[in-house]
Formats: sequence, structure tokens, C-alpha cells
Amino acid sequence: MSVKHSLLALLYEKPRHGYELKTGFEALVEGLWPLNAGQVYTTLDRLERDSFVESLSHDKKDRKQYTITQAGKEELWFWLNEPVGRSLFKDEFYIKFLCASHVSYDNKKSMIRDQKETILKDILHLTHLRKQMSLSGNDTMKLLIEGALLHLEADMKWLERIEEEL
Amino acid sequence: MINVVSLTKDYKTGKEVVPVLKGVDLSIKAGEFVCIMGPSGSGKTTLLHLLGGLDTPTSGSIQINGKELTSQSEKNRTLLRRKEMGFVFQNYQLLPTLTVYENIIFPLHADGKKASPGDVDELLNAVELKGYENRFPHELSGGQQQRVAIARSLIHQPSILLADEPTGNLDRKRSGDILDLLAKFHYEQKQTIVMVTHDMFAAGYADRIILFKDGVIEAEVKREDEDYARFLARFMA
Amino acid sequence: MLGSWLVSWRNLTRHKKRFLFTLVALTLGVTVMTSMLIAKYTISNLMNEQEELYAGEADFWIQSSDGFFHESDIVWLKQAVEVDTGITSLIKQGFVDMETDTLSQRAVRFTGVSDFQSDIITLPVKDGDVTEEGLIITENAANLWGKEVGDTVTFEGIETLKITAIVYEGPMLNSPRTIKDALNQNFRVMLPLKTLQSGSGLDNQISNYRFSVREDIAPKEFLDSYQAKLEDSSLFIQPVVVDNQQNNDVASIYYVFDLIAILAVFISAFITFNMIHTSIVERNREIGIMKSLGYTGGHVVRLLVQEISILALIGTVLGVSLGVWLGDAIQEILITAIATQNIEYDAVLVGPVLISIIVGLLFPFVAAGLPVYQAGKIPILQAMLEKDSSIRSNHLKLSRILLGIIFTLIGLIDNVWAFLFLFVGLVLLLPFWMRLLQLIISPFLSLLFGFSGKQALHSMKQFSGRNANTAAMLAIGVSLALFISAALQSLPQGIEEDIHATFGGEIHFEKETPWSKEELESLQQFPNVENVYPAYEVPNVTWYSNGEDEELREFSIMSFSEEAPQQFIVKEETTNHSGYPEIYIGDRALKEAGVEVGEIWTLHLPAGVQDVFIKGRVFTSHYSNYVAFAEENTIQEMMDWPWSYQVVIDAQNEESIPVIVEEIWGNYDASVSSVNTLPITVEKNTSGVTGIDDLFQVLLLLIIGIASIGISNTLFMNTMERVKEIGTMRALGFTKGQLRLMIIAEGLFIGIAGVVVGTIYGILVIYLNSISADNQGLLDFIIPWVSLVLATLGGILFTLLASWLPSQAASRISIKEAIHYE
Repeated sequence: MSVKHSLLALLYEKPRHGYELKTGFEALVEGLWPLNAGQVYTTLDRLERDSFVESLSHDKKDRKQYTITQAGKEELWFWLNEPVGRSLFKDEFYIKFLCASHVSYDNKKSMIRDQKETILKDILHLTHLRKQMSLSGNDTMKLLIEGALLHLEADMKWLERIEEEL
Repeated sequence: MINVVSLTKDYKTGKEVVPVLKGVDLSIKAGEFVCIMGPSGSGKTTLLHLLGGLDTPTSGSIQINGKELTSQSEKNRTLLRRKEMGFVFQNYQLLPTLTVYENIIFPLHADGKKASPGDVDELLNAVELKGYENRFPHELSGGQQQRVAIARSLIHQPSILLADEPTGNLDRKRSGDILDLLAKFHYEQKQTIVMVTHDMFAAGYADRIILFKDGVIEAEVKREDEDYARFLARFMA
Repeated sequence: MLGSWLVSWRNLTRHKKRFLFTLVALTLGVTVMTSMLIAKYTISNLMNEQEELYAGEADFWIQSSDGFFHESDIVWLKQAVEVDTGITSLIKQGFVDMETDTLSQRAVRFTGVSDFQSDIITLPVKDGDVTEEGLIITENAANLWGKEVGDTVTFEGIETLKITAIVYEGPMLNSPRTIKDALNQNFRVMLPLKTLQSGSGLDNQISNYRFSVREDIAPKEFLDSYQAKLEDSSLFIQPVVVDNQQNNDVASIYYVFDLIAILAVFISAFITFNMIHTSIVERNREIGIMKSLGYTGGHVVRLLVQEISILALIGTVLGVSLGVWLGDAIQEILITAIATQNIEYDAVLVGPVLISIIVGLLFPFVAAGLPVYQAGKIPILQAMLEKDSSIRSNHLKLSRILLGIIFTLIGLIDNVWAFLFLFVGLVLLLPFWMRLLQLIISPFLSLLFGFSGKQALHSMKQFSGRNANTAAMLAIGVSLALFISAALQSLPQGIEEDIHATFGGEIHFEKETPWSKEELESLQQFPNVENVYPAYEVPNVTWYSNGEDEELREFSIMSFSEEAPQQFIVKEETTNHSGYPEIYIGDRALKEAGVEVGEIWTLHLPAGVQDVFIKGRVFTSHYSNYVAFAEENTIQEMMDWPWSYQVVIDAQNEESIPVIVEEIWGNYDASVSSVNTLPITVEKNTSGVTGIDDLFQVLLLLIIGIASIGISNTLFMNTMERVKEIGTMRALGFTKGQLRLMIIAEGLFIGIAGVVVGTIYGILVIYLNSISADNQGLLDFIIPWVSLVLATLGGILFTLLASWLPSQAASRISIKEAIHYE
């Protein structure tokens, strides 16, 4: 879902062709979310089908140039305005933990430990990234990282708590 | 450049002798950002105090930029500290009777130097406290106080910055700001930074992490090491 | 309860140095107060005792304006029913048979008494038996003559006598201490009346008859009726009056004693206040926690009151003990300075010790009252959550300044005690003075101490209240030191000027017998004598004081005439006249009598009860201004005093005075009653003041010393409250040396502020006293430069010493621990 709307956002800025959209997206997420060309084109096709974009012109190298339509703009506004809920089972580890309990899995302890290790790894990784974003002045990205770090901190606390329960 | 060889430190409480550092060897290159981590009581803060000459070791050697610290007189240690080092503490340690401006220029004045208004201005801008020059510490928030402390620790352009739990009293957002600030200064001025912390969120800022346990260096890991994150994560977990 | 006392003790001794310093200050304050009170009470007691001793058991005495009179003249009186017992005495001059340089050194005044068993005369026995008929001499005479009880002494013209008793120096009998003193003072000895009469060829002649009346006799009526009976004879009757004011003016010394005692207690109170105040501020948080656990304000106050009780109790016990010892020492010095002989005395302890104990126990509570009251009201949460108790308002409180100005204005009122209000004003205004001084001193301090100095000025602000209080103590010490030394400096000078102005001539010579015209003419022919004037003095004139119980008082009336040198300065005079004898009266007598110029006043003169008209108020150096003057003719005709026993001699020049004195002794030997010269009178009167000068200097130094303990204490507190900051400063590169300099600069600032403000106020007080009408213009406006320099240097030196310990303590603070210090 979010790829589709990210493309709309990029097109809202200016008309672009497919490859430009791929690099634009990657720049937006500081290269942290690689996107393959096929994914871009299938998404574009779907957007065109829903009349959110049009491909009326071609550029000098004869590549298809996409433009956002009025309906596309409305869709983008609608999406931006739509609050995002958080489902209890969005985090896969929750399901894993649920299933492990269900099947009386013996290695719960090591499961939690490994999860904690992974979270610590993510923290180290993200703090380093935060440092880089801070140095390069990308404040929006810094905010995203901060948010992620807060989630990680909460996850960590939760893991410590269930570890105690065992 | 910091060179530590076979450093030990005992504390006497009554008749009991408690070894806090049990032989530490450590070398920190100029411009390195080192983080010292470990559980409380592992000796990490003691090491920092010894590096800063705030305390004297029981045995061993500390060289700061080629100068042996342990053989210096108290006075010379003070002089070395005020020329070469900056200190940031967990509880800020601002002087309550001095304004922000006066706090910041304190190390320069202690050394009998004049502060150039441009330098102070630049620092104030960098720590985003322009306009707060004439406030007193008790009129500032914790994060603002620590930013003043950082400005103060850097006003005399020390080659070494020693930070003792600089984010220990701050919330996540404010400690992030402080770390960003340290990173920025480190990036621009290439001081050697030695930071003691037990905060994982701070550790990611360092080039190298030294892990303390029971008064000795248990392990160390560099950012460029392949399994840096996994190693650390395992250690911490 | 034991537990809570233990807690109080622990709290009190938590800061050992502070506790010790406060205790020392408290103890010294009580010590000085106790010693001053002992000195004052003992002297006052001694004066009365001496006078009462002189009066003995006698109620009345009979004298003659002719000098000697015949025993038979009073036989009728001796047999009168009202008379209980009596004693007749003859007073005669003579010489001891001994080798000396001059005749005057051998001069003896004999008192021949008719009855050695009588209790009309009491003598302080040292050795032997005073009831045995024989020769009684004093301790000094025995020492100078090398005699003991049982030895014999030979007097010129009188048979050799055996010493039956040696007595201590007293008002009745006394002798010079050294052979040099003997030049101007005769030996007074006692012997049987008959022996003296036959030895001096004055058979049956006596000088006076002292007697007591039966207890059921009303003295007033008795006096009136006998005065009437004696109206036509040369004899006159007077009551025996205990009044030492003619010989002593010790009021000013009492005043200085009181001043020093109050000052010492004041400074101690201040130190106590500072300590308690700090202790409470430090424990704000603890107090908050205590309250959160259910302690009421009353509990908190009780806890603190216990602490103060402990402090007060220890301080008082130590202070009073030390004070008794110091009082004794001061007493010795004073008696030697004031009295001309060794006098036996008992120190008065009970009263002063009781007062000291009460004041010593109470004043710490008064001093601590305000902070303790505030502690009771500390709000819980605010105290517990308090981040930094050391941050306090830097603003000068308007109310404090206003109050300070009001007190200062009260202090300007012309009254001897009013200027204490000036000092209260000083305390209140000191923060303001400090601000002002800071502006002036800052550049110097920064120049002198560099960054440390600047830093010190910053730190000063943090504890401005406490620092101002401390500087105030020093300022009060310094200003009073200046005032008292100005007083002591101007006093002898003033006394000398007064004596020169009102002595009259250069030599006063009193003879045993009245002067005849021929004798005066022959005296006039003496070499170097410029002029001779007869002088009249009516002795033992009694009157009633205007006090509540209308007590009898006694003074002399001296004569003046157109020709004779003036012996007084008129201060106030009325142009009115009345038919009564007109007299001029000295200030002190006027005050004691409670009369005004222009009023009619009743006196008991040799002539009987006589109303007089007070023509004017005068100042004179004679009899400490406790005297009156009347015209020669008035004395002779209206006061029934026809004879002149004294002469006033004008010498040709100052150098010839001793020559004339020698000539007098050579010519009149045994009939010389006394010879007084201007230089000797000056010396006698000023030596006492000079003697106590040193004593007071030492006492004032002691007070500045107590004040400097206060400085030490303050700096200690300032240091200990800043342990964390000091640690930080050191961590940031402040050297130990810089730190020490900083603390010393802080102390120095307090010291300078104290000295400067103290000097300003001191000079103000000197000025106020010099223009004061209330203290008889005794003080001139002089700036005691030597004392000023001493007080300034002393104050600053003491301050530096006082700063040294705290600066050492500060430099010993461990950086590491200080940083973690909460």
C-alpha cells in the first residue's frame, strides 16, 4: 500500500518516468528499502488502471512519462489523512510467541534471547544511522529513526518482562 | 592519543581493600570516538576519572598525548587537564552562581585566557542556546544544562573530551540531541572522545566500544568489524 | 526522649568545625560578658565598701570650723541621752624618724583615737590586734619601713611606739606604695589619742567627735535640734554620709564595661544566628521529609530548640567559668590602675555569674528565633523537591533597607545608648553597603587575585546575606574599637585640659591651722611665688538627693573671689537674684540633687540648715565636678566658715613649682596638711585612664578576634555548601592555588567591607559623641589614627588568618567525591 502512495507523492512533485520513480523512492528512504523495477511497473499499471495516473507523453529518450491525475491527488490526500491503526499481531514475534506457547515449545528462552539480540543489533544499527542522518541534516529521517528506536526500546522492555515471567 | 598500561586502582573502605581496576591496558588514537560500557561497579567511571587526572591510580601508567600523567604533580595534572581535556558529567555540574555565558567561558578564564566573543557565539549557536547567555542554570531544563556543559567542555578546544554518562539523566529525545551534538563536534573538530555509558542507544555513536567487567577489559569491538552488532548484542544480552 | 536528644547532638556535631567555631564564639561572648560584669560589680562594690568602712558605725560627727577644739566643749554631748557610743580623734601631721631624700617623704598623718575597742571605726586587719592600744600602720608602710607587728617606730616629737597591728590599705588608714609615691602622699597611722596629744603639745585638743545615736532616735530631728544647739559656737554637727562621688567618676568606665559586654554578646549571637540559619537551610530537604512522615512544625522547632539548648548550655558553662577567671584578672589590672594603693577586695561573683548564666542561656535562642520559626513553616513538597537550595534571591529587600534607615535615624538621637540602634541599622543596611563596596573593590580584587578574585565575587553573591552579617560583626567590632580608643585618647587629653583650665594657680597648700594675714604675707615673700590667695572650703556639706528614697549626699563648697584664679567654668547662669546665699554647682552634683539653675535648694551647712540660691551650673576638675562654689564673702559670712585653711599659689613659672613645694615643707613642716600641684594632679588623674587603656585595647582585639572566628565559620559554611561546585571547578582546571586564592579573596572582601563600614560608622559615632550634649563634652572629635591603622591592619590580618583554614579545607576537597556529592 505505502509503495503505491509513495509513488503518487513523487509524481505529485513532478511528472516522472518509471526508472526515475525507482531512484526517487530509494532516495526518499535513504536506500533502506530497495525496490525492483518490476514492482514499480506493476504498481504504475495498477495506478493507471484506477485512473490515479496518466501516461500521456514520452520524454526525449522516448520513455513513458507519468503524471498524477486529479483523482490521484485526491487519493493521496485521502491516504495522508487516514490514521494508521496498529494490529496486535502486526509484529510477527507476537504470533511466534503465541504459537510457541500453544505448542509448549521448550526453547522459548533462547527464542527470547535471540530476539533481544536482534533488537539490540537493530538499535545499534539505527543509532548509527541516526548519527549519519543527523550529520547529513536529514531531519525527517532522523524523526523516523527516533520513532523506530522508541518502538525498539519498548520491545526490549517487553522482552525483559516476559523473560522474567518464564 | 591516550595510552594506558597495567592500570590498577584500589579503594580502601575501612580495613578492606577493594580493587576497582585490576590491570587495564588500553590505547586510544587521536580523534577516536570510544565508548566504554559495562555494568555498574565494573570500573568504567573510575577509569575515566583516572584518565582525567581527577584521581591517582594505585599502579600503572597513563600517557596523555605523550605525557605521563601518573608521575605529574597535582598541580601539573590540573594544568594538563585544563589545556588538553574537557569534561562532561552525568549531572551537568554547572556552577549555579554563574550565567550560561560565564559557565561556558570558565575553563578559559581558569587558564587566564580571554574568550573571543565569536567563539562563544559559535558554540552557543551549535548547542542551540543563543539568547540564553544571561540565564542561570536553574532556569534551564536538564537537556539545556547538559548542552551548556558540552559547550563549556569544548570552549578551550581540548584534544580530548571525557564524558561520564552524559545522557544518564535525560530522556530518550534529549539524550539523542546530546549525542547528535557530540557526534557533530566530533565530526567537525576530530577530538578524541571517551564516553562512559551503560546506554545501548549511546553506544551506536562510537567508533569503538570497550566492554568492562569486574575491573578489566572483557572485550572490545570496532564499528567496521564484521559481526560488530551481533557481538555487542550478544554481550549486552 | 533520650533518643531525640541524641539526634540533636548528632545534628549539632555533624559539621565538627562549624560546631567548634560556634561554640568558641559563644563561649568567648559569655566569657567577656561575665568578666565585664564581674569587674563592674566588684569595683562598684569596692567603692561602697571603702566608703562604708570609713564611715564605720558612726551616725554623726562634730567638727569645728577652727580646726582643733577642746575636749571639754563636747562633754555635754557625750552625756546626752540620745548618744550611744562615740570616739574622739585628733588628726595631726608629723614625720617619721627616718633617712629620706626629702622631708615630704617622711610626712605622716597621725590619727589619735580615744578608744581602740570602739566599733565606730573598723579596720581591715592583716596582722596583730587592732583593739590593743598602740601603733597601727598599713601594709604599705610596714613594707616601706621594714616593720612587723611588735617592732617599734620612732616619730619626731613623739615617743617610740610599738606596732600592735598592721592593716590593709583602706580609706581610714593608707600609705604610699613606693618611696617615690611618698613624695606626694603621707603615711596615715593610728595611735592612742593621749600619746598624740602630749607628743604634739595639743593637750586636750581634738579634731572631731564621731558618735552613734540610739536606735530609737529619728536622725532628722536629732540633727535639726543639735544644729540649733550648736548654732552660736564654732562647732558644727553633720551626719556621716556614705557618698564616694567626690572622689570617683567611674560611670564612664561602667559604661565602657557595659558596652563591651553587649558587644561581645551581640557578636556571639550573630555567629550563632549564622550557624543555625545555615544548618536549617542545609536541612531543608530533611525537614521536608520529616514533615512528610508526620512531623509537625512544632516537632521541627523542638528538635532545633534542643540543639540550641545543648549549644547554649555548653557555651554558658564554659564561658562563665572562663569569665570568672578573666574577670578576676581584669579586676586586678583595674584596681591597680584606678586605686593608688593595694586595696583588699572581694570579687563580686554571684550577681554577675547569675546574670551571665541567664543571658548566656537565653541569647542563643533569641539569635536563632527567626530561622527556627521559619524552619517550622517549611512547606513539605517544596523542600523535598528543592533542586538547589543555595539559589536565593539576590535582590535587596526594600523593607530591610527601610528598617535600616529607621534604626539609623533613631541611632542619631543624642543619648549614650542610642547609638546601639545605629548598629542595628548598620546590620540591616550592610547588604546595601556590600553592594556599593563590591562596585569599588571588584576591580582591585580582580587585579590582585586575577580570575580567582572574579570568581570569588561571584561566589559572594551566593551567600550575600551571610557574608553581609559576618561583615557587619566585624564592622561593629572595628567601629567600637575606634570609638573607645578615641575616647581613651581624648579622655586624658581632655582631663589635662580641664585641670589646666580649672585648677586655679599652680599650688594648693593646706595647713592644719587657719592662715593669718601675717602668714599669708610671709608666704607671699617666698622666692618664685608670684601671688598668694587664701581659699575657703566648707567640708562635709550634706543634702538630700532627689532620688526615690531621698538619701543623704555630701560635698564641699569651695570659695571664689574676684582676685583669685578661677577654679571653674560657668556653663549656665541665671541673671536672677535672691536674698539667699548664691552658689554655683558642678554638673554631677546638680544631676544627683535633681535641682535646676535658678532654684532654691536646702543644704546642711556648718551654720545649720540653710537655703541657697543656685546661681549657675559650672564645670570644674575639682572633686570630679561633684562640688559647689560660693563667693568668699558668702562663705565667711553666710555659711559660718570664717577661716581659710588653704592657699592658692601662683608660681612665677612652671619650673619653680618643685622649689616652692620644698620651701613650704621646709618652713611649715609639721603643720602641712597637704600640698597639691598642678602637674601632679594632672599626672594622678590621667595615669588611671592610661593604665586601663591597654586593657581595653586587648579586650577590643579579643572582640575583633571573635568576629574573625565568625569570618572563619562563614567561609567554612560557604565552602562546605559549595563542595560540588568546587569539585567541578577543580575538574575544569582550577588549581588548588587558585581555589585557595578564591576563598581568601572572599574572606578579604568580607574583611575589607567590615573594616571600611566599621571605620565609617566608628568615625560617625565619635563625631556624634563629640557633639553630644549628653556626655558633658568629655570627648573631642579626634580620629584615632594609630587605632585606625591598627584596626584596619588587624581586621585584615585577622581576616586573612580566618580565611586560611577554610581555604585549606577547600583545597583538600577531593574532586572525585565532590562531583558525586549531593
